[in-house]
Amino acid sequence: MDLHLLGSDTLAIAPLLLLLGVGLLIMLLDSFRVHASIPWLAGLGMLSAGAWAWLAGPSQSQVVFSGMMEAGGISPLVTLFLCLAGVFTVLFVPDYLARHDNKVNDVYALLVFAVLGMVLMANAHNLLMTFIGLETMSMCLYIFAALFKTDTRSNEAGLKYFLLGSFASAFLLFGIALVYGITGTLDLGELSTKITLLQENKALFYVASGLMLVGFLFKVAAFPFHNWTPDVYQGTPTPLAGFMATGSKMAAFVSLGIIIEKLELVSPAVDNRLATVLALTAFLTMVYGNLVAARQTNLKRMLAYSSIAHSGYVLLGLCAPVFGFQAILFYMFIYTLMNIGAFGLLGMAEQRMEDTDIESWKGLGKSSPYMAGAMAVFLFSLAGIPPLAGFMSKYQVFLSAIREDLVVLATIGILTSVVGAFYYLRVIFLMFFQTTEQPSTLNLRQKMAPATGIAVLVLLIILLGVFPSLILDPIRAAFSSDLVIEMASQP
Amino acid sequence: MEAATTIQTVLFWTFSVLGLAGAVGLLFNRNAVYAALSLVLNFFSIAGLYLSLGAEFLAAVQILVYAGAIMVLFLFVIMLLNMQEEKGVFTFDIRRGAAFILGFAFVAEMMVVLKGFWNHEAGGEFTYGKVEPIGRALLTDYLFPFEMISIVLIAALIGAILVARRHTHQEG
Amino acid sequence: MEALLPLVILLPLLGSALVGLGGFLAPGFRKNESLVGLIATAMVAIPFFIIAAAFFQFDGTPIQISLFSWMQAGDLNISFSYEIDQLSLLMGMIVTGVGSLIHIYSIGYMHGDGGYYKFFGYLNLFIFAMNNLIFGDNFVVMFLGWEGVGLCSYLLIGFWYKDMPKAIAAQKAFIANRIGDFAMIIAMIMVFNLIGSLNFSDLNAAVADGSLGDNAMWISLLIFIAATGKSAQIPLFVWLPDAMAGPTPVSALIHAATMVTSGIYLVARLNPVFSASPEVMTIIVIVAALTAVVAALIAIAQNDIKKVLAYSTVSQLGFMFMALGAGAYTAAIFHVMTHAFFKACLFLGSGSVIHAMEHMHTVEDPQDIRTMGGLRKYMPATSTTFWISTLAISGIIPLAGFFSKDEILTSLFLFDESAFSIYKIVWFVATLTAVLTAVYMTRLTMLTFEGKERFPDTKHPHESPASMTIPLWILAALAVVGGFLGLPYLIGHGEFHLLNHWLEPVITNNPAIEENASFGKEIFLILLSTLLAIGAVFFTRNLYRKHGLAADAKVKKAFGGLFRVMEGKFFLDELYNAILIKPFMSIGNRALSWFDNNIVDGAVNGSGTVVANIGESFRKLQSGLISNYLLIITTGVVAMLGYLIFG
Repeated sequence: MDLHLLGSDTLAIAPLLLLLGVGLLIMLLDSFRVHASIPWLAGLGMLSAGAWAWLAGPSQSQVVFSGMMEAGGISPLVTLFLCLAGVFTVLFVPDYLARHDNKVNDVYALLVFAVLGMVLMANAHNLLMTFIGLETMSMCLYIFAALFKTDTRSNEAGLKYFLLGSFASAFLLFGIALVYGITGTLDLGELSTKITLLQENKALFYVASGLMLVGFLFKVAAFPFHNWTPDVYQGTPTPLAGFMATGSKMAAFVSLGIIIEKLELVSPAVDNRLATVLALTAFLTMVYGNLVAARQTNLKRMLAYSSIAHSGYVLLGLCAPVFGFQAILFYMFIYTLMNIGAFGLLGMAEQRMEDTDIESWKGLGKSSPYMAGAMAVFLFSLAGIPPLAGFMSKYQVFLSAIREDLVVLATIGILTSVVGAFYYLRVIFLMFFQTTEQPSTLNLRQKMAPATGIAVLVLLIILLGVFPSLILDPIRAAFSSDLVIEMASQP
Repeated sequence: MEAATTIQTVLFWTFSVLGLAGAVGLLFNRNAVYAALSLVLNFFSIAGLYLSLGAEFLAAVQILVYAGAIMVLFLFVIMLLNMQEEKGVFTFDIRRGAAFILGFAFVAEMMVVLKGFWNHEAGGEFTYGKVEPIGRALLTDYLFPFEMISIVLIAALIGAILVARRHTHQEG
Repeated sequence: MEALLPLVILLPLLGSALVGLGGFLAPGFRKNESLVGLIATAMVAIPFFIIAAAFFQFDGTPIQISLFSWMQAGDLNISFSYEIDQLSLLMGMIVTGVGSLIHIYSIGYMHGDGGYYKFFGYLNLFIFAMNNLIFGDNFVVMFLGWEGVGLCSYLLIGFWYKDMPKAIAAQKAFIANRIGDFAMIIAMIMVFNLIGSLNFSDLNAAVADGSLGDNAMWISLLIFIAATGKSAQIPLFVWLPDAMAGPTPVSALIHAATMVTSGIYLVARLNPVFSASPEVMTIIVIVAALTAVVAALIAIAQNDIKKVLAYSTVSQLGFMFMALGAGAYTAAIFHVMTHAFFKACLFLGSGSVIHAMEHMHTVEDPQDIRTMGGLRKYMPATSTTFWISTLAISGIIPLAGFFSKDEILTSLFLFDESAFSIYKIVWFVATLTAVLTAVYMTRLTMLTFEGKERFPDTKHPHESPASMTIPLWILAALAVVGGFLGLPYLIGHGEFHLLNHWLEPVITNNPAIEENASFGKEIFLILLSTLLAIGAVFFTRNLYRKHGLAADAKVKKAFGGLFRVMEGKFFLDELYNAILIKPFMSIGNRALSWFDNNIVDGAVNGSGTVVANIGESFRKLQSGLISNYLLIITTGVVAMLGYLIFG
């Protein structure tokens, strides 16, 4: 390591250090009983870290800290997206926790650390960093799941997530170890120069990447590694479940995307079985998620299965190199907005366990039109109805798949998304077109912070549906400045 | 075959068999204390494997952290909870059967792949397992991950405290 | 002039936002009905005048308007761009013109309704979506409109969502449309894959230079399937009669005049693609003929005034598709136009009747024609306009319906020269349907406005206010003169078919029709349809004048066993239920519940089993579930690795 570069390297990853500082500061403030400002500090900290990365991050991609991390290229944008996921989540958390008489301020520190882990993972330039990032993130998420100690569901969720998550991490680690065994390096840049070496040991390379894939597919809840999702989301405090469903998936998908690009896992080389595996997983995940989601009577579980289905669409995008990668980054950002919104709103409505039953949302359109309207926007967008952003993101992914001649898979994706539209619409139908004798029993308390969050998210979803280039152009620009990814994808 | 290689082969097999025996003992012992002690055997064997590879530092850490600190904690917990020997005979239900089959299938698959790959002649000296190169690496090339791992530890600590703390209703 | 054209798209959107959000946020504004109505109407009427001005100044070169680039993905650039050409101008005139009249009408009709502002907000949004559909120059903008009109239709059908059937009808409409949408998306994918662009003009050009090959057939078939959803053809038409649950102006605007004709518009827009696939044209003509005759037969046996009109709409849409299937695109658009006039008039007339019947509060069902009769005395304006439109739809010379329907029948007859071909059979069915049309429409009008009063005579119905009758008169006038835009080929060899001349640059009709034409054949066809129409109207009128409601029994006898089927709407709902929905649901349910219980999580929906048993054996159950999950994960891993190694 060249110690002369320490200063400039540190500057390049300053947003990360800012997140670290904020997290530690929160813990410090908490121990000095300065509680009130903590959520604000967390939110502003993440916001400024994201803004810093986005505004002051290096424009051209470069590797720092002896090739451990990547700065520039797509990383500022990814950092911004991940930080925004954290910021939007933090808008919903204080109100939710206060309502459940649980004022554990460590949550905010964990949230910041989780974002930090995600950023580490998504910007890693070394498989070791990928793993450390993943573990940092997962550790925080395990604790989120188990946050409500007196609630059996929460206990169950924490235990399940922890055990299954460790199991999946072991596969990832094994895969990474095998890659090291073949090549003697974990540096992604170096690995991409050793493609031929990897491809010579074909069977071993397949197994190594297959095992790494398992670790990622578990995190993004793809079939058949999905089954923890509904139980864990259900036990997790709702806004944090939303964070779990979005931020962690975004980080995992970006990281997986980078590995796929650099190791040419789905290159159109002859007899590429990994591409088949990925395509098959995408197919099964789309079909399974949508079919099972349609059968749920609990909104939270429905959203959980729907998030599985969405992972299927993103996997579809991953099957199509470079262009698909851009599409999935867009997809994940939009998906993050919609899902944090939907989970956040669900959290605002939730006072008793039954409140997440779809039935209790009957007639909400009458009793709280604003909130029901916002929910309708989120659900319509999740269903992919134009002109909302959810349509645009799905469209981009399907388009990228079609460009790579994955027409059959894209068609299946579209078919399943038509099926998917039904279960989202069922909720809208209940909210607006069904009136019961009594108005809805849900009591949506409209506190300032969450209400603002909902409003901003709704506006963003509409805005980005009509002007998708607001996000698409920066994504494209980031990709074209990301020399490493571009290089790896050249034939 | 050189003498050094022969000794290494002997050591490898010894520690491997011992390690596996420890692992099996952990799974099949119905007495919690015996199971924990089997695990200690496993840890020591792995430390032995490290040592035979010349990774002295790793071997030492393995013994200090796992066999020392973690196992002592385990045993404390076992004694505090006063765990009884589990009752009942060994049942072989369908789930367990499936687990065995899948486990063997996985091992078989890995053996097919790894067969013939790692029969490289052990060449040269293992220098990277010594304390000095590890320390150097941790503070130069691996400085960043080395520091970042501390966040995982912090998060784990917070988690442990949150789960263990008596009152969740903290005044805010 | 051109600078104003973007307003055509934007004003209705602005109106929707103003009225909808304004009403939502400001209760004071909400209560000011006249202001709400005025804004909403102006936002449709101004675009109408702009389009009309553009129409008359149009110099033959299409005008491109690009609002902004929507998305750019590599070489694909999709922008909110619109094409103003002959076809879109004509459709735009119909949509905004009829739309404005219906807005005016709704001011009176919706008076006092709690959701007044909401209703107008939806209506404006609908016009916005419809304008996107018509003017969009590429598939994506068109699809945006296509989905948008569907959504508005869904919202407006379920507008009075207090009663369950209406909400369910809304859902039925949505599902039928989604099936069609799916076909549309597949078609879009194919088009993009083949020509790398989603512009209509590029697609039409690709057909012209032959680069599309056999794929033209698949694309046209898929677009036709999409059209069967939106334009209510067999097998997807079942939603349209149920959609009558919405307020009557909605039925007039969306489910008669505009949205349901969008499938026909799209086919006409892509006429080169369809002309290149004769197999699909044959399918279209057969499906359309079946739809037309089945819907006409059902209409005879219905007693709900709006249901009769709904089936009539399905039947007339069948006529339009028959014209498309024969390659007579102009005839189809012509019929879209005349149908918009008289069917809107009929629906608004029925709305006026329903309005009057409702206000008497003495009849149970204000839409049942068996409890009406003799309304002409009380509602002179409504009944006169209704009669005019009835005669127009029945094809009485020289009203609008005669010309457009005659052109369709002629096209079918002249499609080929053989005496016995599919097209000749279709022509025969179409002629039969034209007779049936005259019968059921005359029956409807006779039972509603003529004869004895069959409602309790404690109260009298009243004529509707001027805001409702003026649109009726305008539409009736259009139904009288509208046909002169397309005088038959017979007169001056098509020189006076103004519509044909107008649309010539964008539409290429099947040349065979003109080639096969001869003076004798045309005279024969015109005389035949005139005589049949007049005969049918007179026969039915006399039958019902003599017997009143009792004439229904005679009709029933005449049709014999078939009447039972007609009354039951050919039992299509039951059929779909029995062969599609029920088996699917029961197999699906059984399979899925087995799946749920044994494979998925062992616990669906709130992990019921876990929570229920949590007290007794928490730990055991937990470990059980977790090891199940682990088994599934490991199975996945082993299978994946197995494939990677040995596959």
